[in-house]
Amino acid sequence: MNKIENLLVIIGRTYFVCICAFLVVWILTWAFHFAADTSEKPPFTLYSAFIDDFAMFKNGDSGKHYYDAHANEYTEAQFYEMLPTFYSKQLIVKEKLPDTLYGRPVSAKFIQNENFTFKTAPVAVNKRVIALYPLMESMSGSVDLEMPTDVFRITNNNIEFVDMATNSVNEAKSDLFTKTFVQKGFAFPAHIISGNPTTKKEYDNGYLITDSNDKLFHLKMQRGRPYLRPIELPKGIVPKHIFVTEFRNQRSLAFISDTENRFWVLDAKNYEFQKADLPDFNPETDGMMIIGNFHDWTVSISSGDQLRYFALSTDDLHCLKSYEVPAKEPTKLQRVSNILLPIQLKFLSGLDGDVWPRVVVMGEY
Amino acid sequence: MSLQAPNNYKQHKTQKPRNPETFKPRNLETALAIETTLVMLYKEWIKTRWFYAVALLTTFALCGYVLLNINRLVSLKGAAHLWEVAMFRDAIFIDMLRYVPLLVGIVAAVVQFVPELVHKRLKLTMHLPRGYVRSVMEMLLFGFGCLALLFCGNLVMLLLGLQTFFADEIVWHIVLTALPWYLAGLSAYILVAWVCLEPVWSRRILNILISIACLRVFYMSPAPEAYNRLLPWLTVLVVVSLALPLLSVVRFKEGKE
Repeated sequence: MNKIENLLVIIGRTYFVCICAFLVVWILTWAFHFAADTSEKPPFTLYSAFIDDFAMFKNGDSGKHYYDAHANEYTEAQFYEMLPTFYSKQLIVKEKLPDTLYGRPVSAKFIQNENFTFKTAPVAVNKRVIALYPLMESMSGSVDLEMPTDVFRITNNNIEFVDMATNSVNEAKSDLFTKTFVQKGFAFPAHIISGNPTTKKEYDNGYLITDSNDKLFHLKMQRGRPYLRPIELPKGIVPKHIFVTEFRNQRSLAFISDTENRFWVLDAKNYEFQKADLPDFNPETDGMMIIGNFHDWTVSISSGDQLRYFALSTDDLHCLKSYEVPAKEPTKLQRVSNILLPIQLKFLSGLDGDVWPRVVVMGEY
Repeated sequence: MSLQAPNNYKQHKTQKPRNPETFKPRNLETALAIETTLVMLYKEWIKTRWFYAVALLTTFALCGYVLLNINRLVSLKGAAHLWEVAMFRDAIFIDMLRYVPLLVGIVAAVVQFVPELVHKRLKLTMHLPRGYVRSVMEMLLFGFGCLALLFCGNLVMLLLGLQTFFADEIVWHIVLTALPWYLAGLSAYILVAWVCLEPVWSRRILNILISIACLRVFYMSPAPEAYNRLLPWLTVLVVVSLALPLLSVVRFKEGKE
């Protein structure tokens, strides 16, 4: 064998050893996780203003279990009455829905109109998306929303509408919208484009877009014409993730997290920002769920193994109560697997959909 | 065995008389090496041409079928529906092709290397007056190159075909999702060659297990564009893995059975 052939064989041997080590660690990690996985669903948790505490429900092996954060037990009927806005339909059936709640006269319709659920998970935030967006008609006059026949993209110089049937750019519409973008001072290209492109919603509020200077704009299409409104950002806010809300009560336009991981609510009527009294929230690594009613919001933030609940007042979004679910102690098998396999390797993560080798050194659990 | 200068060298000599002062015997060696390489590649071509003809027809027919299917869906449900499911429901329309390159890679290696072992031709190759590692590497590069060309043709056909239905964003979304499948085909070719060339059965079983685990990496997530970050690294690893079958050949040469 000459020098090159020798080198090739050495490369082959090194590659073989590396690949064997890599595969052994990967397969053992999978086996340990498979054997030691004890993950279970956390109890359903909601803030109850009646008991000023978090009410919890768990459907376990021993049956349904209703309790609060201080381990007080409740019956099913008591539980429903503690959470009248969430279980309003149940209370209507039993004719137990009160006329007045938290000092305010209420009706079933009002309660249901004010209720909303918002959910975001890192895997959805970090997902790779196709940068084409359908812009619906916001003032169609029709009850049902319709998907448009075209989609838009924002390039380095303009906004382009592509007709889906012909797969060609609609020059006239693109020029009309680009003109409006330029008039309103939009600096191409866009950084963030956020909307809810679905017809399964009550109404359409278009898109919130940040330009290359991180200025925020609200884009809609009204009777075929562009509506682009610059939104003034309070000093120091640079939006990082935007979630257009489109809730039935039409109070908020969007939830926004900024580069400093603060969480803001953008008012739909006056475009004002209101900061939520919450700890740091990074949508790329943390999950969030909000179950809201006209009086308070229950916000759950999950970061890795940590799960925290916060009750916010709808008046000024100040925190009424908070609760952190106690961390679970690792099982014997988990401790043993951490010692036996101090370096673990896996390709998939709950944070994103990417296949990528992720090495964890001790203490994954 | 007597070595003969290749024809083109003879022509070269007749056109330009050799100057004894500047003539280097190395020129003869280089020309001979090129000639034997060409002979080796021609031998591989003779052995595998029917397979590649069938593979070419089959894979192109499957790509055509997938594109025709998209065309049929466009006529049935409208282009807008397809765009929507591509944008919001992770549809890529070419799922049918997921395991095709893998299968082609496996069969290519079997067609090329099993006859070498069955008819004990590999032993003859080992006794050629040239490096046996080099001979096997040339065989591997021939198969790898043919498959790479075939897969590139498939991808170009998909790319051009999809562009008639979808915007570039969707087209690249689909093609980037399919790229790991084609890389898996190339990897499968090398790994199966490694298994085929291995002379010892116990080691061959180990190679099979390692190969299965390696190929699993290419099919870990069905999510579109899930491999974007890993693709460059996977490509490098697949190319470097060309050195793996050489280990089996060295063991073969050492007489391990």
